[in-house]
Amino acid sequence: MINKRGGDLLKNTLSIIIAVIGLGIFIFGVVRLYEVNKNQDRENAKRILDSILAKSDALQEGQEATFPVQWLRKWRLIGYGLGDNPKPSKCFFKSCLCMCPVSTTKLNLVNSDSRKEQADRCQKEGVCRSLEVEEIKLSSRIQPTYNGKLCFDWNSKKVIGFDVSSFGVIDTSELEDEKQPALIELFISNNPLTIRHVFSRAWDEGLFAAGVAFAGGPKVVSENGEEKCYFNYGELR
Amino acid sequence: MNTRGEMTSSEIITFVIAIGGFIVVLVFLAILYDTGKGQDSAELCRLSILTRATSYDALQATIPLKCATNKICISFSGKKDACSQFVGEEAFPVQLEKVTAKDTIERTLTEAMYSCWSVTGKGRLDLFGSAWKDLGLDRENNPELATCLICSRVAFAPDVPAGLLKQVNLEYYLENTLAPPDYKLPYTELFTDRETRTFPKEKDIEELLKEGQIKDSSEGFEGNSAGNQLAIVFAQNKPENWEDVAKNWGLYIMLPSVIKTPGGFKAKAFVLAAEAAVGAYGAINTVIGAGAAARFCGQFTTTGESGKGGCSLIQAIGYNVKDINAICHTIQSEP
Repeated sequence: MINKRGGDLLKNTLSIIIAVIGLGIFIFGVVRLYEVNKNQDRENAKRILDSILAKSDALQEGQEATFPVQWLRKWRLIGYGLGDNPKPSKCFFKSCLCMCPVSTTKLNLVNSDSRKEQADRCQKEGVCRSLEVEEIKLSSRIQPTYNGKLCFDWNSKKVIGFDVSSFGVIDTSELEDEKQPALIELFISNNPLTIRHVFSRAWDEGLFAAGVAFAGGPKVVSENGEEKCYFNYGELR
Repeated sequence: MNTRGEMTSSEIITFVIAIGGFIVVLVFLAILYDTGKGQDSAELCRLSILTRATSYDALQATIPLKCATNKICISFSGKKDACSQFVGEEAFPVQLEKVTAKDTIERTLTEAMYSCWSVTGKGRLDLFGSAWKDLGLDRENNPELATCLICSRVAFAPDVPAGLLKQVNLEYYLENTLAPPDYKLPYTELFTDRETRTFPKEKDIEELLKEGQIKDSSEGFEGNSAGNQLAIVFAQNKPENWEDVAKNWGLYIMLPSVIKTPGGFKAKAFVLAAEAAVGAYGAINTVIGAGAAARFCGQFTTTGESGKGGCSLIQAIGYNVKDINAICHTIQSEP
C-alpha cells in the first residue's frame, strides 16, 4: 500500500513539475512574444533614424543627396528645433530628430495641446536623437511646410499664419491605407539639416486627384499685401 | 510486472517526448529572447517564418518576422565603404576580380535570390497569414499589391563599369549554372522544384506580344533612379480572387520589373510566366537579358484555414520608390 502511494506521489509530483514548467515556459513565451512584437516597430524606427542621421553626417557642407528609405506605417519623423516647445523631455534642451508613433488624435501643428500629445508619445514610445544644431528643416507635402513654417491647416484646409518655428513633420499617416508607401525618398542636405520628402510626380497627381494632398512644392507668395500658400499646380482650395 | 517506483514504457516515452518538446520550445524562446544577437540571421528568419506559417490563424499576426535586409556591396576595391548607397549602414563587401567579375556578379545575385526563396519555403508558406487583413491587403480592388520582404539590397560601387553590368545575364546564368551543393541541377530547376528548366526566350516573347497574349508593361517606367542598387524582393499576394490573379500574373504583381544599370539595360518590363498554370512554379522574364524571377501560385502550406491560396514571387528589381511601391504594399523585413 505504502509503495503504491509512493508510486502515485512520484507520478503526481512529476506531472505537477512538468505542468508548472510548461506553464512557466508558456507564460514567458507569450510575454516575450508580445514584447518582441511591440518592439519590432521601435527597433525598425531606430534603424531608420540612425541611417538618416548617418547619411546626413556623411554629407559635406553644401552637399545634398536623395536616398530611398523603408518607411513605417503610422510613424512620423519629427524635427524639434532648439526653440520648439513642447518637445520630448529626452531631447533635453537641444534640437532633436525623432521617429514617433502617430498621436491618437490628428496632429494639428498649430495647436500646442496637439503638439504636446505628440511630444508625449515621442517621449514614451518614440526614438529621438539630440543634435547640436539650432534648426532642423523637415518638409512633406502631406503636412505642407515652407522653410520650416507651416502654411496649411489640415483641419480647416486653409492657409494659416507662420507662427511655428522649425517644427516639421514627415508623415504619411494622413494617407488612406491603400496609399501608404512602403518606401519613401528623402532629400537630405546639411547646414542647416534639411530633410525633405520627395514625391514622384505620378504619386503626387494620384494624391491630388484623391484630394489627399496637393502636388508640387508649397510656395509662399504675397498678393495684395496678403500672404498665401500656393502649390505648383494652383492655389490651395 | 510493474514493481515499485519503476516507470512503465509509456511513461518513459511520454517523459522523453515532453522533455524533447520543452527543449524545442526553449531553443525557440532562447532565439526569441536573443532576437538575433549572435544568431545566423537567415536561420532566424527561416525559423520566424516557419513559426508564423505553422501557427493558428489567430496567432499569426502576433508572431513577428525576424528577417533583416542583407546589404551587399559589389566593388573592385573590396572596401566595406565602397558603396555610397550604404552610407550609415553595414554592408557585406564582395570583391570583383577582373577575369571573373561578370560571373561573380551573377553568382552573387543568384545566391541572394535563392537564399531568399529557400528561407521563405520556396513561396509555398503562407508568410503573412491572418496578418494579411491587418495589413490592409484583403482587397478586391487592388489585387496587384503584395506584402514583401526585402531579403537583400545589392549595390554597385562607382568602380564597377557600366559596360560590365551590361554584360550581366542572370537569365542565362540561372539556366546554365549547376547549383551547389551537389551540382546536379541548374538554378532554374532548383528555384521551381524541377518544374521549369528554361525561361521564355526573347523571340517567343515578341511573338506572344504580337499575339496579344502578354503585355509590354514598360510604359512609364524610368528604371532605377535611386542609384545603382537592386533589391532582392520576395513578394506574396493573397487576394480573395487569387486564382484569377494567378492567371493574369503578368498583368498584376509583375508589372514594374525594370532594372536599369549605369549603362542602361534595355528598359523593357516584359512579363511572362513560362508555366501559366495555377498551382505551379514558373520561371519568368522580367527584363530581357537582365532580370529573372521565379514564382509560385497555388495553395499555401499552412495549419490554419484550408483553401488559402495566392502567389509568391522572388525577383531582383531596382531599389527605388517607384519600383518597390508599385509591387509592395508593405515591407515586413527589418530595414
